Amino acid sequence: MAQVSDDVPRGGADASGVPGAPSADPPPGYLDAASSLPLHPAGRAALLAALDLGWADPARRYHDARRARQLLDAARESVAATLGARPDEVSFTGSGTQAVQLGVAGLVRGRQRLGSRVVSSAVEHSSVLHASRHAAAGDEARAVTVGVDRLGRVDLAELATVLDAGDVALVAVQSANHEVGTRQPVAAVADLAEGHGVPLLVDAAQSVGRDDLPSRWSVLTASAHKWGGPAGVGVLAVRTGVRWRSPSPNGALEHGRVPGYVDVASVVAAAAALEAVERDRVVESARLSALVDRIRERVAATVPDVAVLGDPVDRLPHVVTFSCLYVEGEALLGDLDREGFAVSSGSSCVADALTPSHVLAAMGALTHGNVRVSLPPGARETDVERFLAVLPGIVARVRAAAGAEGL
Amino acid sequence: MTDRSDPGSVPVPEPGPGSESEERAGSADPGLPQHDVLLDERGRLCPLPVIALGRAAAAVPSPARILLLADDPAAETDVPAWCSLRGRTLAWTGPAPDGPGRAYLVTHPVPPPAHGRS
Repeated sequence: MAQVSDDVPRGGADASGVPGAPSADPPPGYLDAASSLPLHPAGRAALLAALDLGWADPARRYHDARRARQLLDAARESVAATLGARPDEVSFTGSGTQAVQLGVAGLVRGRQRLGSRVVSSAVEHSSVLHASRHAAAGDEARAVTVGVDRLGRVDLAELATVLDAGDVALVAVQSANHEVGTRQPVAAVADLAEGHGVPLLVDAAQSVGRDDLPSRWSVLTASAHKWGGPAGVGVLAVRTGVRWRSPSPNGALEHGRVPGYVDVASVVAAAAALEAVERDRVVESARLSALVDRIRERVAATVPDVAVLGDPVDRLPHVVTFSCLYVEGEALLGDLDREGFAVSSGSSCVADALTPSHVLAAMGALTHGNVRVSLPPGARETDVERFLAVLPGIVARVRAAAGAEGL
Repeated sequence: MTDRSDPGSVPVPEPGPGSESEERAGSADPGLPQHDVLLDERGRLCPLPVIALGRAAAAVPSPARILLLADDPAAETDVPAWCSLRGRTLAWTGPAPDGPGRAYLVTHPVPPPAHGRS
């Protein structure tokens, strides 16, 4: 979605952080964690250290190169442990989108004679849908999307029907939805995929560092800036034994999976940030989940004609989305921004294109007047309370300005 | 989702002239279904077509059949979503008769409630 109002608050973390330092202090009013997070203090400290210590080519054999290699190996082991993977299954990419593109294209290539259709849920991140359509090479019938229910959960019966028809290269289902927070039934999807001998790609971008991760996947992708690492680091994990073939012209680096020179310092920073957020994750996620419960209840109670979307229970701990009838999303986000709140929206008037969020459309949910609130680690209760205090008045003002009061 | 009493659920099946200025009663356009009020919201973006729908439905007496023309892609999702929020039925949808966009025929639920109970 990432349709943020103009200026995303940046920084907020001070540079004195050391690994193991207290968790990042999010910028005041920043409620758009699902778009990006400021660099975690532990990640910043690790980045600065690794810039000095890990600059050399980790593929070489001399002293500085060996030190870069050790830093990279340690980062890989750390991230792999969090993902429940072996270090040699984990590769670092230049972004989460690149990880998705390599993951999809590599599975398609690996299964050239076994199946050609790329099957995904209708509510995947756009990078997955784009990669699927690209892999289908212009043949729309080969990029298949499976519908979801009103909560945004993939329709398992429909998925089974698609798999029964055969000719499937891979199934792509996210760990949880990035716009409405609903967790996908990944274990049940894995049962279906395994039963048909089809690999499963799980886009876990919204779950890594925030939620329990699924363990049954063939390929898993993630993005470091969603957990407080630097931008420009993605993760592509490929299970041992999975038929995946590099779609790139060369692939000597990162276990032969990723083109280009690896950014050791950023990878080290990403791993340090993930270790830091993982240390507090279970306790912090429970706290944030209670705040999301509060938002869900209070928005429904205090804003007339609002639809609070997604699964109220089986969801990410930090994401909640609602749509306000007769309200222009752009005006709503503008007024919230003036009150100091950064949120995002799936409404079409906030997007570059004129089409509304494909997630909300697939759910049959109201797409206008849409607000996604996603809490960063360390989100302040006082920020949430102030947001809940100003929201009903802002919605009423936007409705009144449009002449839509009391309809 | 908060519930609200539905101002548009009073069963008034009379196709009435004398609608509001932006609305035109009748079904002069060939190829369009019978309707009591026509809202041409083409060229207007979300949420304006749905606001127009809400305004037309809130009129007293509430028209039984509202035909909305809209070319905003968001309307394809938002008109059915509005109908379920407001207890109306999207009875028919099809391409707009002239140019881009779609037509949406919004009616009271079928079968209609007996005595104004929503």
